[in-house]
Amino acid sequence: MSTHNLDSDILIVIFSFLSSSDLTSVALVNKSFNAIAVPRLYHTIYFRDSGLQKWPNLPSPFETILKRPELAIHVRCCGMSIMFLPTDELICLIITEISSLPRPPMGNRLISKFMNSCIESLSTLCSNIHTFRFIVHHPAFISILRGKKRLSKLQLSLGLDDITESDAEMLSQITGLHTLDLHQVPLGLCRRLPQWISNISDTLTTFRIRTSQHLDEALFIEMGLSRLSLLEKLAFPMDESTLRIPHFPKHNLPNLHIVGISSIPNWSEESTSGPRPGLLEPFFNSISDSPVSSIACGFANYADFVPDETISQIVRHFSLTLQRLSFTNADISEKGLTELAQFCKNLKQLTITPSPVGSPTARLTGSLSHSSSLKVLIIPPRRDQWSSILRSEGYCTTLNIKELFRCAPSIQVMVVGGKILMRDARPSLMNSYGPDNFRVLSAPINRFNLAFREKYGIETLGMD
Amino acid sequence: MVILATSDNEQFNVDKEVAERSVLIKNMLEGENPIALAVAFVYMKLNGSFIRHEDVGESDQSIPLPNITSPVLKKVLEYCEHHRGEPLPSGDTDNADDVRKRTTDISEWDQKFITVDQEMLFEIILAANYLDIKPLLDVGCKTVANMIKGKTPEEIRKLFNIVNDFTPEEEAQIKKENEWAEDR
Repeated sequence: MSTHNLDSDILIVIFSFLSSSDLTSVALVNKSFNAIAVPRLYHTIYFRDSGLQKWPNLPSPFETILKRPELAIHVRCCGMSIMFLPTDELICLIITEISSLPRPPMGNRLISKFMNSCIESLSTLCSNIHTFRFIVHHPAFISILRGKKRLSKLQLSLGLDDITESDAEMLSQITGLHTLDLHQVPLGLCRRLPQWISNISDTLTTFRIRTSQHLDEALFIEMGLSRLSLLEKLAFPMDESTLRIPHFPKHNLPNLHIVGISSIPNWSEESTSGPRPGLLEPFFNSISDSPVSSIACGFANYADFVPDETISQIVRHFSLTLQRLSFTNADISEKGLTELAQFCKNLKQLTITPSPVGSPTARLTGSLSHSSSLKVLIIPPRRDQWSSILRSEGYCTTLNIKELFRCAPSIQVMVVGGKILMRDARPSLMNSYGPDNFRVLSAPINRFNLAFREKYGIETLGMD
Repeated sequence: MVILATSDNEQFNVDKEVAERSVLIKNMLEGENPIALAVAFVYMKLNGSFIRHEDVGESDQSIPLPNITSPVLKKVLEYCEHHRGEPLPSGDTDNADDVRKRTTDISEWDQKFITVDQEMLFEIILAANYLDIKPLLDVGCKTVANMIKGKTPEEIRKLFNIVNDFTPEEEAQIKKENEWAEDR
């Protein structure tokens, strides 16, 4: 008995569990393994700047596809991340300096050769791509996306340069999308956005805009989000320099269950900012009929307390459906937390960054003890505008974790200071209070593996 | 009860619920005996009484499994017994694979269950494939994938007793062509 007995169907399943780098080893084992591993390898192509630095000594996957077009149909997911496009001179320099190969003849337009191979292989040959992560700050590449009929998930980051009218027109003709995730929206694309949204209104389930200088109220109204009857997830930025979010007309989005708001920091001035009263309310009002189960708001500057009115309104609209609430880099007052704990009977997961002012432990225990549903409490470190240095120290020490576990009996898991703490229900001689002990899982936070997440229903929203 | 007969002529009496973890056996039982189903339907109509579906599909006839030996079937049934009552996976798992990276995490019980010698592992995979027990096939395939992870081509060849049939030139070419995928 050996792998000879395993037919190719089974090898396909086995190889589907392997990473790309393992697949490259498998492809070298023998011819029959190679024949199955290579198509799987081309299932997902990620190509970034670092790959371009080795080019043209090492062929890009796009050139290989041009040479072996039979591989093209296997490509389903493609990620390109090219922020910096080297000049021909630089490529020649790298070739001669680093790899000590003979300098290629100048003037043969290396970079355009590379671009052409990308465009040709991806736009004409790879017709089965359904997921495209396109982070390319060079407008010449946009035509790769032309005519992608099977695309269902598109993440687009085009950089700060504007795009041409015809490119914007072409993008807005991409239909059938389930997910549209835009990093920066150039002005030219903003103008086309309402039309694009209209073209994909019968398929779109996830719509996210991360940052944009050109988003305004009128555009949001023009986009007519209420047409998106399938919309499940919606996230957009809030501009802290104006401290406004676009005013939303009332939407009827019967499937919307995850919303995210992220703040764009105001780089121009030092300011203590955050959600002022009346800032988030219009938005929550506009979606009050949706069965929202997750709300995530992220703030670039530390925002001490979310106004109680905002919390009251969340409770008023979504108390029956809300399961996960996340205010990263912001705190909620004891009054607000008590209201959440008392009325949101399905709230399972809460993320806040407690303020060190007063006694955070007493605030949290006094309020969260009212909840019988809250299972997971996540305390991310505080972040400040001018530095991404995580100032987590103060929190872990001023917060009395043991006290929290003792006073809020429903909480099973806490994520604090990058560690996962789990309630330990085993009886212990050491404590006379009952099951208020906890274990520290050795797994650091980035090993939030799937099994663990499923067990405790922890969901990373990917929106904050 | 369902009777399963292995290639070495052993018979296993198995609860229908357990045997039906296998989509192959489930389909066989459901497709079996359409006349009995029709009769039962008429009977139900006449009497106004309700007959449970389970009462109909059972028969004394054994189901032959000519590809599976008794030690392997015993192992497979141990798995089915442990996972009885769990929801069967729906058909459209292929799509989900693409959406999120496939994980090779295996639950604690499954991990212990699948700790067997390589020959038995491959036999279980073949049986799970034949009987169409997707979760068991996945457990087996994940285990093999975990054995492959992090190994060099030569180590993989040794692991599975495979002879390298590439020329050095071919090897160099493949290496060069796939180098883009190494960089993650």
